[in-house]
Amino acid sequence: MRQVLHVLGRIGNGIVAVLLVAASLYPVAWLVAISLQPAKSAYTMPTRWLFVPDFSTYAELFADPDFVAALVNTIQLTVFGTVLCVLLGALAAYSLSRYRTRWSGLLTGSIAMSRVVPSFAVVLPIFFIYRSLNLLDSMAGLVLALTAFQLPLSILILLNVMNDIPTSIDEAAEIDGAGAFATFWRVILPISRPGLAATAVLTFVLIWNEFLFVLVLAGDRLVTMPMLISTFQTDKQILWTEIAASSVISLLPVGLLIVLAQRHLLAGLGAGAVRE
Amino acid sequence: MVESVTGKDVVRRRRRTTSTIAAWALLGPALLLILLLRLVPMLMAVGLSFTDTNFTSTAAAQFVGLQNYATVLGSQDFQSALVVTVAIVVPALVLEMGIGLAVALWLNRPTAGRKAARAVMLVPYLLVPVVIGNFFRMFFSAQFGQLNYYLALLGLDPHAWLTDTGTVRWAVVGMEVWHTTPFVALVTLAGLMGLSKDVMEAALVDGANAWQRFTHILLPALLPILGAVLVLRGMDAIQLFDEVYVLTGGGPGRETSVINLYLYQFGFRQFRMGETSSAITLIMGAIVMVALIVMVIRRLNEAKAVRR
Repeated sequence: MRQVLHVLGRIGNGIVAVLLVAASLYPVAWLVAISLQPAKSAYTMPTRWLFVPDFSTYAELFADPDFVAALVNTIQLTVFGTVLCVLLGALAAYSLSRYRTRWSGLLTGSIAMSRVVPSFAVVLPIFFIYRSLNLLDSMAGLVLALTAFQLPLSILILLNVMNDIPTSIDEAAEIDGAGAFATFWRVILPISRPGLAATAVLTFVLIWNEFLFVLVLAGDRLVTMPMLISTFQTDKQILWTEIAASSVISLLPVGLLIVLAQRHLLAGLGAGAVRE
Repeated sequence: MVESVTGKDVVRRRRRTTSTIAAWALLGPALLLILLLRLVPMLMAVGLSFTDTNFTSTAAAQFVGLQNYATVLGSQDFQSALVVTVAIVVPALVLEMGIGLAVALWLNRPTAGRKAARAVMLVPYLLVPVVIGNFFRMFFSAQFGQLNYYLALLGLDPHAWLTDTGTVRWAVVGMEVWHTTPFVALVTLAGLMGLSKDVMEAALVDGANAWQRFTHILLPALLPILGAVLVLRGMDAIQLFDEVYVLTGGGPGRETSVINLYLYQFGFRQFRMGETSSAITLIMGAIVMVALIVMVIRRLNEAKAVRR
């Protein structure tokens, strides 16, 4: 009896495991399959999982200057935004962690609170500001707006990391004659590397995926991948193979990070969730 | 006591001044950006909400008092956006918290596949939301949808999920649950793994069964984590936009026009900045109030824990 239960338990566990994996990966698998087949395959049921791959959709996309421009824009936006978020976030976190002024508590609290302000309350007024400054559809404007939007999260994650570094390390560096900036750059930053990595990968994914900011603040001349993917779908037709192929391309960096930097992504999600 | 101002004190004071400068210099760039592109826009929305600012007219904006608030509160679109958001967010939160907790508990055992399972679960959560919306648009499609195909295999009739007003919100809920349950599961699992083993072992020795262990020991210990996850997910959920924009565009009718879609379509597309600003201000006010209530509850709980 006991053995039967044990076997049943193992089978049950196996079924749950298969369901979990299938449910999580099915959409990606479907998009990959559709992107490698002729256009009509998206409308054929059941989906064919075994086929001779046809890369012509990818070839067409990379020959299309609009697509290449969107890809380059997305890479630029994400790299600039991530670097700024990590760098400015680390500087601010170091300041809040090491220099306790009478404002520190209030500042940290306000930065934490600013995360509850919805994106729309920010992005519509920015549209208004940018329109008068002629910053709409500009890379600089988009990078700055997104950096400002993601900075509070970066600061909070890095503040937790730096608060865990004992101040005796700073003092040792100061006795050796290092100034504030040298202490930060040569001592604190290298120790915080795991926290910096967690912040970087999380920010990277968030900016890479961003749609609303681009839709409102750009989208005419400056188009990014999520923006482009949304335009393949019009009232008249839905270009499924194009959607699938460009989706797969835009999933590649995220997938790569999940495989290579899973630990940092999980750390970033956890740090963002559990505050204090 | 002039004599007490020794050289040492002067040095200390000078150091304090330079360190204050350093503190602000390090903080400066981040603070400036947050101030200019987060705080100023927010305050601007509040300011504009009392004017009749309109992108299409060139006339200077006039102060109109609370008129915009009256218009927005009386507008059917605004009311429906609130109803739709609640009707989608509440079931989605209930389902993802429930399923997420179950998955976390299931994974919180010494299994070989835990690491792989966590990687797999990152996929739905980190996928580009626009791609998710596109996929589910095809998945729920009446004619070519995979859902209808699999239902037919089970002998069930096909259904126009996205055009039937009775099912379209549930389609959005389903998409959201697929998208965000992994976040709940992953963060809860991290919390479970951080719980002390002593408590669990004590419960085992006392002869408690699995259900008793769960309700009396695990759940109370997990509550702070679950609370934090719920707050974060809730804040995120009311900002739902990308996936719905692609999946339904808010339709059919205004059936899935959540707050953000309403603000985009009504405010941004129609250039009615004043009225939109008052809608934003109302929503922000509500969110800040909820945030403050949550903070007070947490403080009270902490105080209670300390007293105990």
